[in-house]
Amino acid sequence: MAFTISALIFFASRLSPIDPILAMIPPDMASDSANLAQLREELGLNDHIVLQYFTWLKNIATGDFGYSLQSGQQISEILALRMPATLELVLSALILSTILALTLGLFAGAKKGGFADKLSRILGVVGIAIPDFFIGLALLNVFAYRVSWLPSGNRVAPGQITFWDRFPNYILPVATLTIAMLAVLIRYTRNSVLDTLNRDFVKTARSKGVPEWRVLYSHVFRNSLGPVMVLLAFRLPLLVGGSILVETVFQWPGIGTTIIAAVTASDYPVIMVVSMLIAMVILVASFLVDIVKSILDPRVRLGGGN
Amino acid sequence: MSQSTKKDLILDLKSVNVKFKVEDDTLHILRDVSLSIPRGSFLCVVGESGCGKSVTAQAIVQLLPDNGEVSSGDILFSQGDKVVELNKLEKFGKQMRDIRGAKIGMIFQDTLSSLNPAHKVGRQVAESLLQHFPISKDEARTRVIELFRKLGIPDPERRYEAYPHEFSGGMRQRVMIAIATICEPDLVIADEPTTALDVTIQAQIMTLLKDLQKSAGKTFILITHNMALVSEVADHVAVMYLGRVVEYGAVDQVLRDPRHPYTKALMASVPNLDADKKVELQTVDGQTPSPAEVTVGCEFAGRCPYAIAACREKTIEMTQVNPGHDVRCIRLDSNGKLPVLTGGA
Repeated sequence: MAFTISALIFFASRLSPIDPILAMIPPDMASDSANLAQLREELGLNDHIVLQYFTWLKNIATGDFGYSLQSGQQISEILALRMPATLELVLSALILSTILALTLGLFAGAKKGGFADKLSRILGVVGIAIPDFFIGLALLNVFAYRVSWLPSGNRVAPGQITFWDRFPNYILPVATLTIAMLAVLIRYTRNSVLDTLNRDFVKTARSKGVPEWRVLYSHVFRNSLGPVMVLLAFRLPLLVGGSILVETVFQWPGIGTTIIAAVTASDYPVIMVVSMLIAMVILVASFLVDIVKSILDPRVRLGGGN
Repeated sequence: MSQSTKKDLILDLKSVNVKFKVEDDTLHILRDVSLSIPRGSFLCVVGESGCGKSVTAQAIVQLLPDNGEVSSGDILFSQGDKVVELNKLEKFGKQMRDIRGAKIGMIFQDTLSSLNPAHKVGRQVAESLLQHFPISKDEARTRVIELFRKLGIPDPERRYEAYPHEFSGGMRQRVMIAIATICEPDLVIADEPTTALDVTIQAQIMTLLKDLQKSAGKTFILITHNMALVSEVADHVAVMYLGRVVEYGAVDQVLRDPRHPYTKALMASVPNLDADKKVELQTVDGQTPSPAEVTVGCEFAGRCPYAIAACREKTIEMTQVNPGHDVRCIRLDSNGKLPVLTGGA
């Protein structure tokens, strides 16, 4: 799977009509064709494309990500610098939205038409109908511009040393990502709970005289989680994609801004490595979801059936 | 006296009506269902699909779907010396929950969907026990394993830890029976417990239920459409048609001497091994009408060969043909016999 993705990324980037050498060299130097030819040879761009691919793959696998065409920096260095910023943003939004969505979704499903159901409906419509960068801009407008309660962006400002100094910087971007992620998840959890409530074993549990909160917690919730976990895995790419827009809106120095800058500058090595990285994150995440599912549902456990 | 004294009744349904809201319509699913069930008896409720058998069971334990409710009538359940009106209790309130599982056990039809796929079966049986008795988890476990052994589940210690999908259909039904009987309830309601099983397993499960009823003196209500089962286990039979009980009596009275045209048709449609192979098996003509159709008079009139104009004029009342044998039909003469059909195909 990872192999296929790497091939796709590599050959797709080679399909582009833009010559990486021309993108790298300042236009006034591009006239010296002898130098250009030498540079091509040094960078291995004259090799057969399949050979180039395997060279690239070998380098990636051994941890040599190459250099940025734009800044000449090592890509691994750029990643080490930018990665933590994105991870803390995406992970906190992921954890926050999952906890919120599961709790609200459970209550919304358990009591159709109740307060939690109405709240989840509003959040769902807002989150699905409004694109996340717009939510970001709207939050910025209200909380940073109109009432100035929160900073408008940037991860660290001068003089902010402890975590609590920096904490206000996180609120708006994390809230934006959380709302975007929450919307679909909350509706899905609610529907999954409603589905499970109609299953026969819920009637069996009730026929034992078990109190409703126990029926919900012990029988309904656990069986509702499986489908939600699958959705969570499918939503991860959106979370990464969403972070690109949100990082731009909040001037967040993460992977998202890196890839935007790389794309504008046709910085192929960076684009390829970052795309590969995002793909790997999604692969690992779906693997983790499989593990969680097997914990939740004994039927998918390896060697579980007979 | 057709009825035994009130004291002996464990469950007494008095003109119970159940209505379901479906979109903008209200469907009248149970119409004036009255059933008196003596303690220690084995009642079979029979009838074709959609006649309200399962709804009756669900109404008793107040586990009707959200869109259904008991609109009128009484459901009286006697517990020792006091009588509880089940339909007056709060659906998920403490009093109702203390009866469910502990005093009334339920066995459902589809065992795969009726057991929680994520929990070990032992835990699912123990849950009922732990809910109603102040005992430790270890004690509960011991008692569940003991019951598993009694119900013929092989290797009960190991099976306690297994999940429902690791069991065969027959074994799962034994687990369901364990759930329903672990608290030794006075009344067990089995809703088509053998429909999803093959014939040999059916026989084993029925023997098991009958033994439980005899040895522990429990009262059983068995809901089924399998007439062959009825003659084997039941002592009383209630025949239902479109939300009404049309015939009620002891098993010999109803099965050997059916009086209602519907019961007669139902009995004629049961295959018999000794029957003449050349004679075609009879079926009940026509379709079951939808409960959405508002009918006046006898619900069966549309399919009944004996029907006359008077059948469609007003609601037909139950009449007694023999002590303990009630039939809802106005075409019976003073001896309780239907008129002889003349002519026609």
